[in-house]
Amino acid sequence: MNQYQPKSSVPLPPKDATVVTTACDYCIVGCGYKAFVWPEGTSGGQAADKNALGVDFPVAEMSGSWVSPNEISSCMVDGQRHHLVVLPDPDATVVNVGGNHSIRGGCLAKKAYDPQGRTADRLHDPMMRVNGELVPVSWETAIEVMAQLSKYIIEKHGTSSWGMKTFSYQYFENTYAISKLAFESIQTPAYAPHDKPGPGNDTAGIDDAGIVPFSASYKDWSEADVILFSGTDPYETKTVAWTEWMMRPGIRHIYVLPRRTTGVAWAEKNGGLFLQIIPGTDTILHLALARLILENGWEDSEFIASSVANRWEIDSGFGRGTRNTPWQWRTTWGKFGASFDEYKEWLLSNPDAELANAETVTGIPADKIRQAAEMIAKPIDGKHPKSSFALEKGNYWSNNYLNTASYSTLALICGAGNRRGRVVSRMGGHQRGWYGAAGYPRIFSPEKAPGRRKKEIDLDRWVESGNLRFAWVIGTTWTQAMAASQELMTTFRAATQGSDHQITRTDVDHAVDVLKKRVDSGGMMVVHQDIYPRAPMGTEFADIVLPAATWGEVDFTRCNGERRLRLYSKFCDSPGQAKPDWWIISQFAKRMGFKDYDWKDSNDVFEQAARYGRKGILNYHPLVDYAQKMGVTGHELLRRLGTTGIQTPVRWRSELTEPQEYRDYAGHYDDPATAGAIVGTQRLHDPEMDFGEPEGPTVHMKWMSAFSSHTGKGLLHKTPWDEFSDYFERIQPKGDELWVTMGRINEIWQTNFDGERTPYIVDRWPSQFVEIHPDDATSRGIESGDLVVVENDDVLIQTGGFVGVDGDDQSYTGLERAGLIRIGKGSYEAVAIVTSAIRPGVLWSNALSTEAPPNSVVHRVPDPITNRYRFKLGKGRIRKIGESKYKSDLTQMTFRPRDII
Amino acid sequence: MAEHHEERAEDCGATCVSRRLFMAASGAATATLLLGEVFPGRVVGQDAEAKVEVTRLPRKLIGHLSKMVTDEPVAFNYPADGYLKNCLLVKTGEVSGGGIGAGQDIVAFSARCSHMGGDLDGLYNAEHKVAGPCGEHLTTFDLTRHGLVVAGHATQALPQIILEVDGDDVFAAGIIGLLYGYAANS
Repeated sequence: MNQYQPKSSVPLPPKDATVVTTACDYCIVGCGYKAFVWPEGTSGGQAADKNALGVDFPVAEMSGSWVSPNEISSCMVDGQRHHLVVLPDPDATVVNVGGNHSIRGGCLAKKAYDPQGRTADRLHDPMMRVNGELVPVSWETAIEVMAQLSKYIIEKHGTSSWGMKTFSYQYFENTYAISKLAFESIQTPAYAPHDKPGPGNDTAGIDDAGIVPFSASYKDWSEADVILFSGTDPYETKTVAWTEWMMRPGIRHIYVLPRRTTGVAWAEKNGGLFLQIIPGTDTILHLALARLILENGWEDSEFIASSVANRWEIDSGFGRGTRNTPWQWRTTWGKFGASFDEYKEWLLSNPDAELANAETVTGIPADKIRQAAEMIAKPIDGKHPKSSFALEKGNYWSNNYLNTASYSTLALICGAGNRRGRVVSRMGGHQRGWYGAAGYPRIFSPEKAPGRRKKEIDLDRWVESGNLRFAWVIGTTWTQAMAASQELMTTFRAATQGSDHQITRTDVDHAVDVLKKRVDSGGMMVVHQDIYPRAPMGTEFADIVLPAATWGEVDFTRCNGERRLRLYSKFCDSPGQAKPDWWIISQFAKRMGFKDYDWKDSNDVFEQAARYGRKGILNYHPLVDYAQKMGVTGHELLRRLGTTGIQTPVRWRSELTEPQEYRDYAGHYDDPATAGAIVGTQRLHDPEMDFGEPEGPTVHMKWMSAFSSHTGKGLLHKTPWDEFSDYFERIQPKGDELWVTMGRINEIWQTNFDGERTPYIVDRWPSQFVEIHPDDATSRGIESGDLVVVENDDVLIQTGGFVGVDGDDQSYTGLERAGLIRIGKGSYEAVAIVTSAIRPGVLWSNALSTEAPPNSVVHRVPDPITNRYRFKLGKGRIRKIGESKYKSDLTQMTFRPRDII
Repeated sequence: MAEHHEERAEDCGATCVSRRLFMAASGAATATLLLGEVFPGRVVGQDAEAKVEVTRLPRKLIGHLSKMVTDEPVAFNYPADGYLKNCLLVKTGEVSGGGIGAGQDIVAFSARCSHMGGDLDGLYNAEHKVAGPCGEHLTTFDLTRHGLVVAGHATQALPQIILEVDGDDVFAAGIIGLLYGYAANS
């Protein structure tokens, strides 16, 4: 039965409604939005002069000013209930031009806290678990218990027993505070972002090539002839980047995915290609494509000669140093880094790269691989096609280092990476909201590869090994987001609920005493800080739960996937005693005795953080400097830049020489009363861009006009398959097992934390689902709408093995030999969708369902080169356990294919 | 919102329950009803208990049962001729939420994409019983499931036109959902 009650009219914002600019809280694209707020009981009229939109209703097709019923909700302003419209900015000239939007952003209004609505269950108060139940306590009590325990644990068990697991993206102000606490003040190595077991590169093979993974602008993609999409269909959750900038006649799309999506169907209809790959085999495909290109002489020789490092350049600049940072040892280790000649020799003599082998391993017909090679590289009338390379998690979460390194190498030999229409970038997931106050203290990390090759921590393994005594979890469910989820939940449960030491009274001394006993007996204290009660971390494991304020409740800042910085303005109240994360961190830090946390507001944090990002790609320091000269705050200047914002790195120039079109796209601000102007940066690594002399606070980093490697040139990498093949062989589905892979689905953002409170979204996706090919479904008696369970009783879990000493210690073979692999179990339930869109032998589910996480059937053995999980390579058996109600009822869920074009 | 009074005098039997309910709703232009009341005998299982807001609109003759051919949509305008008011009436050949006719398979919807108003006229997919993909951004809607979005960007289902039968005549009698472009359906 449907949850959403369709509406047949909407109130319009009156002329005097408060209007603020913001951007979408959700996906990487960060479309520009406007929020209209006005008191209940009033409404604007349908004539242009009677409403705040300034348009006559009905509005025209594609006007961007239509207010749909899900773009409206209620929020609190100074304690009074108000109407709220959150509308894709109809005046947007960048990103979502003219008010284009996704279904996710289009429902943003429903996110607002409404005590009489579906978000009434927002966390209101700090809480402590007393006798198993969460009860409200004061901020002072919660912070006091945390601080006393933290001091005790750090003193008695060491800094690395105190850890944090946090979002890496939920606004600069908050992540700056988090990193300041973790890395500068406490200096713990026990830290991991929400989506991986430790800090560091997501796509090390892209970074190692000298390519900043977010170097391109959305406009750059629109200027390509061909785009090779690896492990992503941006239609799904980078929607507007795709519908606005990529879905254009004249751009041919090639998709490498196991599943035929809407974007794939569009591509096939518009001269593109679909390479339906067997999960985990991308490296072999990349090698085969590169080999075909080199065999035919289609490589961009001119670009390679000018822009790709030779052997001397690879080795230059290191002296006799230890080369113990990850990129140094990877690039200069003869096994990976290579000059073009070395790479060519290796590739042409490598049987793994032969087309026939690639066809067998990847499952992609040879003629399609050949067509793809031609499309991305074969010169037409003597000119190389403008090919761009887009990747995301299907690529780097199945075989992290080899896939990304082989992909960047393929791109470089095609002449891509830094030029108009010829770019290499991630499509991204969440927005770019990390602003580090200090670097991760890798030197304290317990992990290293053989030799002096330091690695960031695998925090999950650290927990499983009993080394973590204090876990502060912010804005993530942790367990469902990581591999072998159910096993990780079991570990957490034992270390918290399973302990004999449980709080029975709210007084501080008692709580501290009990928790000290718990951590001294091998248990863990858990703090969960979030906006909703989240299971099981907040609702079951946490001893203390802290309420956070979020989007729309505090002024925040962050960049989208093309480094576009905007202000996400406050327009409503936060619930109860909820506070921004930076405030909570500051209270704790001050109680711990740490200095320099005396921020009075969000802008204070923003301006302080600016000083620590001056050499980074998200550098906005010149904006803050300019604002101060204007006599306004950094946030205020950014507010004036509206939904256009400004692309980082921000530059101050005494006089702008950038063409007007460039300024309008990248964002700029020229205050007549202040010397000079600020301007954004559209594309990185751009050798043709004249940045002028560095002036004032402007920092010209090498990677603005060259690649980000030590020489400024692109670096090629060999990617020997035997670095992965032993593991890949072990995890092959056997008997009636199938691959279990996963991803995002257009209509759901992240874990659906807001969507599950938006009835309209619940109607579309009321349940976890699993796509299964008809061949696999028929033999198992499964039909669309059946309730099924996916089970894996062979979940591989690495235990220990933090320090590699000899040769292959950390290879899968080495780990197994040393007895460092245990076998766990996992399962999840879902509603079956039988569709030929998915490759036979493969199941596909929503990656981020928290109720039925498919990560439960995913092995927890990270890529030994980078400590990144192979999330996309789970496996399991599927069987019917009944029929879901959605099979016959017609108001929720649909089983129609998504690849209809 | 204007009120309309174009009810026909003749009794059209059980299929006109929704019309009677409209009239009972004390003259209000919109009413919140159970789906089972709006589509008597034409919804499945517990769907009958679902609540929907319905706009009371004039009945309009839009087709004849005997002339409906499976998978051949009929275009009409509703509630009147006018901008963005083009709709489609279609016999899907499958039991469809709110469907009329012996097979409960005749349904009608707005033909304007509820994302940004793209025209869905001529974009009925017979194989899968969906409207779309919209030519603007590729959104698709399941016409057997009350216009649910299959894939895409619309922030509401495709507005469904309430159908009533009187002998062989097919009438449009109201709308569930807000027509694209409008602040109110009437």
